[in-house]
Amino acid sequence: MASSTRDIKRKIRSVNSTKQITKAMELVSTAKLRRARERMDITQPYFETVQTAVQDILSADHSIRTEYVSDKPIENTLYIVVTSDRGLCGGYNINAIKKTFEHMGPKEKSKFITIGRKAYDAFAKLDFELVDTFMYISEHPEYIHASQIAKTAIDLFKKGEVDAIQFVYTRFASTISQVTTMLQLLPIERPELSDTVQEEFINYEPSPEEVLGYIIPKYVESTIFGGLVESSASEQAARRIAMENASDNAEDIIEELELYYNQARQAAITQEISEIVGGAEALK
Amino acid sequence: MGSKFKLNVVTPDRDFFSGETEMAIVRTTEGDLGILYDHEPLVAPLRIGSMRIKMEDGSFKWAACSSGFITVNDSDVTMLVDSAEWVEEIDMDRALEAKKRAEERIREGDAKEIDIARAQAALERAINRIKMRDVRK
Repeated sequence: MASSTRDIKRKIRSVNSTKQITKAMELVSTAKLRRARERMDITQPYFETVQTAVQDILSADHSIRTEYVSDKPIENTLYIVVTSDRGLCGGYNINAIKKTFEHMGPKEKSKFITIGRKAYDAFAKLDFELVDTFMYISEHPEYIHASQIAKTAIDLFKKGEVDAIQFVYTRFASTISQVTTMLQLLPIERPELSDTVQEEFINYEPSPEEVLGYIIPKYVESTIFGGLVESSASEQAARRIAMENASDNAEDIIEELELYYNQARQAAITQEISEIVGGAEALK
Repeated sequence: MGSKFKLNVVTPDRDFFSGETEMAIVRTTEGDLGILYDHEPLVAPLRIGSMRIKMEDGSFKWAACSSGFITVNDSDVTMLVDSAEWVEEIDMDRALEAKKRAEERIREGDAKEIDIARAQAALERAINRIKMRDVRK
């Protein structure tokens, strides 16, 4: 046996203490996930209602002209990327960042608003143009954060510095599956006219343009808020799974090490016996 | 008794109201607007103000709400507002404090333009809450 029993013992102890940490983190994430999901259940109806409202208005009336629905080619893009502040959550952060890179055009045509330290680290290191960064909000996003982000983004869009706003967040599909999603916030894509839509007359007070001018920023804001809340739930879910896997792996390693340990112990005993027997034999 | 329609009031923190009512009166940017059954389809922004919903017993229940918008279509009426609370829920101390804070911020005035706008909106909300509480209690 190459390693002595004492070495193996030490290794087992070390793996075991790691396991205790990952186990604790798993429990913490489970608790946080529950809270994040409760929050998501509360905010989801608002988020969905705003989205349907905007889609309904745009699909019902195609004559509306607004600066938020434009057909001009997209050159400069603003990316709003949501990640966490802390790691140890599997592919959660890396997937969001990768998704952005996949979509991104040339560097000088992209601007960023990062949410979470991981996104900041990733994009700042590569010297990308960061318009704004938000840190330490991803676990507990508030509506006010979403309106700040939306305000910065919409201002850039209105000034013409960017032609499109892409929002990268992690959709919470279930506790075991989170999907990194990219959503185009602006310009809003006109939904296709469905066959069933009859030319319904909708009254806009005071005017369609003014109503949309009010509603669309609201839509951007609430979509960002919904995305932040969903991402925070996804983060906890991703971390819980990552930690669960880590705990399982630690258990496997401990099991294996214990086997080695027993083998080594057995070998030592056998060796001792044969030494004694050998010694006794020699004395005869 | 008139016919009823379905009304949903949704805020980011909760489903504020969901149910049937005969009449609701809301404050749009153009003025107060009463909605009865079978109202024509409408979309309108709401301003900081009040909202009244007619209850089963014919009385009106008042609520303070901040800006948002209302959509009326054939099947239901949806109101999306940043915040809403029934008159009896209004936290007077908090509103007074918010009013003071906002006033201070406006007085100091050296901050960025956006902060002033925000403080003004906060002030308006606080005053609205205080007024609602005083009048409707």
